[in-house]
Amino acid sequence: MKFNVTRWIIFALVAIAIIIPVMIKERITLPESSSSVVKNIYDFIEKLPEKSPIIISVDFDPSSDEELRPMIKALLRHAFRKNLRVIGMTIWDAAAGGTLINIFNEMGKEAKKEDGVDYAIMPFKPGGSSIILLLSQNVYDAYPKDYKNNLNKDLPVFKGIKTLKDMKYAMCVSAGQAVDTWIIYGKEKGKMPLGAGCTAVMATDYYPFLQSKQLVGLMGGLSAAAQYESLIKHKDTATESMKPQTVVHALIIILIIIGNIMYFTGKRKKA
Amino acid sequence: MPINELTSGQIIEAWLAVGFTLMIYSFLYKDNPVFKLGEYMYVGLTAGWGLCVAWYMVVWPDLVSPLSRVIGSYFGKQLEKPLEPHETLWLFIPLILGVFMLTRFSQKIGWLSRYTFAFIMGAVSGMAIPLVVSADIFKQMVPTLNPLWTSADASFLAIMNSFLILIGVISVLIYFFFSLEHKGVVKVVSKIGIFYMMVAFGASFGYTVMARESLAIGRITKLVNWAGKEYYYATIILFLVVVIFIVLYEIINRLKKQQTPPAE
Repeated sequence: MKFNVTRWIIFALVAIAIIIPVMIKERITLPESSSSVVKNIYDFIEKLPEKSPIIISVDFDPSSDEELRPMIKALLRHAFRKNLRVIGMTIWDAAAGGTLINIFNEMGKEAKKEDGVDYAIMPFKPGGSSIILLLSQNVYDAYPKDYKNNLNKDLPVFKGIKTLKDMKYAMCVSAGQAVDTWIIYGKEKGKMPLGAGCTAVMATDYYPFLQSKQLVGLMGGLSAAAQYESLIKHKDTATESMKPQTVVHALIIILIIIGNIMYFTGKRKKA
Repeated sequence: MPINELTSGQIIEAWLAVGFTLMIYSFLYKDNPVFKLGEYMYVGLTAGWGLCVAWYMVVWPDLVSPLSRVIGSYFGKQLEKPLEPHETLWLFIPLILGVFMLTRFSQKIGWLSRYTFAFIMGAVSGMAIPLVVSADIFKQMVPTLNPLWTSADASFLAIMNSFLILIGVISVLIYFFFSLEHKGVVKVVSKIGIFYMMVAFGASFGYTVMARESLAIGRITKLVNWAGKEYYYATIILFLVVVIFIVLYEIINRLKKQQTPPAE
């Protein structure tokens, strides 16, 4: 077997660059700044009046949990602090169990909010785009009952809500195509303000939607979640993860420079 | 977290998570049976989870349960909350279309599945085409076609941004204009287009690296947390188990290779 030493050195360096900052428990203060696209979401939620209904679509599975869970947690903390009514849903079957229910209940408990009054969790329904279209026609056709089998019409959290148009804000946090689905079907029909959260890989795909004002704001990856945590002044896992992230970024820059030097010197030798 | 605060469920969960994470990470060394076991378990669990969600959250409550209540009431059986036939009889349509999908497995009646596919294609196209054209084409064209400066109070950066978009769109479009030979002015403009694309790919790659780092950081943070006394040193023990297994596997493999006579 050929043993690729260079590859192993890089793996080991990246592992060390992550493990050491993670093991240092002392809080390291990193400069706080937030990009305008993240701040737009914060500002929008901040300006909403109390008890405004908002909808959050949690569309990711455990494989993207590390990146997207901090985002949802920060958003929910902000929404609960502002006393907004939050409706949680998903169009992704993998988020149907633990992810959606777990995050909402955890944050609801932390903020001492009541299920059915301050927030509600919808069960998974297949169809994706058709569910969002149905929501834009009649919320109760799409979701007659919540995940606990309560009739949504009877829940105080749904007071005054008939269609997506009654939502003061919608947010889709997704690791797949759900953001596109929300832009195409939710925004076009529902006309409500829409924000998006996605993995860093997907972020560049959604920047054009900011310029066309189809999205209010965009959170891309863990760094955006850390920015949001700093905006709501509640530092959590995303902010903590910025320590190793900074070290790994520096390492990768150094490796790229070394790689380029090796490439060019090798080229000269060959010539 | 002190030991007494953790439930046995949390400890088992941590051990399973550590085990599977290390199994998958063992691919960094090379493809091996530990990785394969982790991979198969992941695929199997995902498929099983999907099936359970489809059955318990969709097929049972939305189709089987209401239909069984109608059928039950038809045969005079009083089940919980009987439904009127007109409320649920339409459910036979998706049921029949769903059954048609399964006919794909038969050569004789497989043609029936075409009705379902035709319905799905028609419905999805009908729903998607007007909205996609509006959201992805018309609304996306608007910021590109904006005037370069709209008012006296437009900031210098906003005007610069508009110019950059204009130059970028034109140069990239010209780069992809293959019916013209790329020489002279066309070559210069298409070169500018290449630079624009390089910037876009660079940004995309940078974000991709950041995403992978984030996932590694999240996993490693958990591995470090689960290495503690309260989790009975899950990470350390399972790491050693995986390493010992791979070393033994490698030794046995090499011995086998030495024993096998070389092919003539």
